[in-house]
Amino acid sequence: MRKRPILALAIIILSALATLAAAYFISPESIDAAGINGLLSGMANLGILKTFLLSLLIPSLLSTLSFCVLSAAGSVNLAVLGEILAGYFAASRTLALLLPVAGDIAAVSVSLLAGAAAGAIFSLIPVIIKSILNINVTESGLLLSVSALFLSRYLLGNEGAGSAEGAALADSDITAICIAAAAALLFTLTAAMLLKGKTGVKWRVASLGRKESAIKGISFAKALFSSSAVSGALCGLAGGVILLGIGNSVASGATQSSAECSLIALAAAALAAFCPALSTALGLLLSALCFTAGMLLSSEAYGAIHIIIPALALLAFAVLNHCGRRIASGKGAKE
Amino acid sequence: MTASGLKDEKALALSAEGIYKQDKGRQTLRGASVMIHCGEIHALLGDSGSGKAALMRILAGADKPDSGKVAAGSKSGLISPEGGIGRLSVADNLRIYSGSGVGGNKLVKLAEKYAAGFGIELDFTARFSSLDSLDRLYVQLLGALASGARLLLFIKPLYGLAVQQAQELFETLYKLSKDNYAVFYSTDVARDALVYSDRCTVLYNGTDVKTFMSKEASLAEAEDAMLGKVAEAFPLRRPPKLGEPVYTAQNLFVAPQKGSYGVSNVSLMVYSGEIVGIASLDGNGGMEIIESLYGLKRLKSGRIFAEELEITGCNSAKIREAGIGMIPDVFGSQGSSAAVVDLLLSSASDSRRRLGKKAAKELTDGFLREFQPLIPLQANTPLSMLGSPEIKMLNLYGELQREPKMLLLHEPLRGLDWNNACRFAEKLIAARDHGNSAIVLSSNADMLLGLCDRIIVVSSGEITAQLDSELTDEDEIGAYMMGARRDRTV
Repeated sequence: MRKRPILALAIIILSALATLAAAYFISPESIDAAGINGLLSGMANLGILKTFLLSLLIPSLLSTLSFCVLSAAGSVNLAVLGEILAGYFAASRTLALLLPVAGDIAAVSVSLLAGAAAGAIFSLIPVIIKSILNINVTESGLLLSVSALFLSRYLLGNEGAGSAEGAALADSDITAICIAAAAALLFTLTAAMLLKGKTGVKWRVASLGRKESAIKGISFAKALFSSSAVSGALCGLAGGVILLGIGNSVASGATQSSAECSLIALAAAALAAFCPALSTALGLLLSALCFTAGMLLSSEAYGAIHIIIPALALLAFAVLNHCGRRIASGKGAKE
Repeated sequence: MTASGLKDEKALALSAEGIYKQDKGRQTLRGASVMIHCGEIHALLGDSGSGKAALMRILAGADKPDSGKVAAGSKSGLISPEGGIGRLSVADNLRIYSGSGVGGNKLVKLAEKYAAGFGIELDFTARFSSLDSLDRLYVQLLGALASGARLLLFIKPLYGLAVQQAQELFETLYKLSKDNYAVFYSTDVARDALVYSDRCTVLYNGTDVKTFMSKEASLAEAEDAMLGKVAEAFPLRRPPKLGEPVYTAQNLFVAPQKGSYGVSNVSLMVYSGEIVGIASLDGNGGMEIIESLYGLKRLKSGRIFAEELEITGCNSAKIREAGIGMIPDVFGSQGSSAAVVDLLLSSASDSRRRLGKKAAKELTDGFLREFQPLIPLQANTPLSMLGSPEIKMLNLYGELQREPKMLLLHEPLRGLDWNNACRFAEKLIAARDHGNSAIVLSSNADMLLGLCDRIIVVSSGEITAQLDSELTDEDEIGAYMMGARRDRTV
């Protein structure tokens, strides 16, 4: 079973290469020469790396960790997309309000915090619904995510309600580096809390069930609320970072970016069996694969490739998981 | 007669030969063979982890062997203490057995006929969960008989039954065997296998090591075959050195719920340095007492004290802080993300501030020195990969690390193999000798007699007797569990 992530990784890479090869053979003109040139020149001036960091990598890794956090407490966070969008929307409004009256750094910091708070609040809705109506957190989270997707499109409109302040701010190298450093620090702290801290132990024990956690003197409700809030805050923060990466001028850009990040995160976390360190490594690889593939292909293929690669990864996970179960139950074993 | 004492003229109801089975990476069966004849009661005797459950599942057709042959001569029905659907009525549970040729209502009528024939009194409209352990077995038995089964396979039918109930069940089964039905059941108690069977097959480490006529075998012979040569001795109960009262419950009342009597006016006092047993059949209030003492069940009225401190109405976290711990029989682990080390750390957390790798390794290594789990485990092994016995041992080891003043245990030795059960009991008795206390809830009078200094018997939510372990026996405890009343206390 330990070889599963390595095997899955190999399948992802082969799948991605096969997708690229297929795209080339079916329609060679889909390879965007300008994209390749842009990628190469971007490497030189780091501008493209900044876009990669803010619009894809950091949000994906934050979302990946969010999956790991809630999985520790025994739940699957399918409200990730909604939480990212809630964070994106809250950060966007806060930024628009604060920019005229506060400095850039203060405005960015507060808007990121607002994004995290919005994500945390969004993540608590399924938990509250569960405590009142006893509806499964995963199911209500998924429903809320889909609702958030349509609501965000309606609220932002096709051309967007705000301007491109976020992206303009992130054009400053120092801001981008600060955001990346802060995200890395937060990521490390959360992962350490999960792996080494008492909170992580409490969350994992709470995943055994209400009665079992009570036997160990752990409040099940507190563990569920705190893990959901931390998980949601991470996603909300991811939404805020996406805002800084792509701006808020085009609604479809925000929803697409959020969907890409959440899918990459789900694929990475599921493949790594929700282990934070391994999930991070896979999230990094998947993000890089998606970004490179997106840059090499024409703009029409760009959107699709970001969905196809994580989807293939999830498919690989499902197949391997099925094979693992067959082997574990002895059905696939040779006599 | 053959070498094993079989009557050749009796028809074979089922035969299994050279059965191999692997489960969760562990070889549970290694060439097990058994032959069950019509008109006999046949016991499958084996320690926990010997492969009884795996073999029974295969014989019942609920699982397939990796290799080996199973040939059934007649239709079989599987009956187990966990069988039946609690939220359905008895009649609806019987309708589940309907199939080709026998409709649901016809089957219920047939079952009623069988019940009348055997003198079994059952309310067919009652909810299944409201029945006691014996009646639950009867419902499944009637269903199997009405659906035409001639081979009756029982998984541990004696679990949770008082001696009198066990005798009643086997009287019915003997009548069936005289009508040429075949009865095959599993047990891990050698004495039960010898008393309640015509023939006995012993399973050891996934292999059938011996088959003998029960009347001709001695208890020592059966136990030696079941436990092998490395069996440890069960710790001898030493006289307790009683100290001050550590736990006092006064006039506890817990409201009755579906399938349970609740608790009515229960008072008890536990002293430091003693192990008190609560003998109670399932659904008779024993579990409610334990849960209310640990803050898991809301009290209607009554007061609880841990030494001088009143803990009435406190949640389990506060009660743990007062030095109380609990080890349940069933500790759900499916679908959780927790690993071995999480359970150990959360159990021992009161005495350990640091949760680093060192503490985790120390705890896991310490556990592996003290116990020998049947499923190999490490610090990061997910709990979902382990069985109930391993989790029970982890819970005990973890709890003992923080030296609790009192432990509440529910069926502590159920499911444990002999050697680990001995170690478990030794640890409890050693803790008692150090001045700690324990309350042990069980329906197994034999186990309570071996482990406890004093036994409180609870029936229908009330205390029916308080007995000194030295001056009582299984029959007496069984009678009180069944509802007889004794006013004298010790």
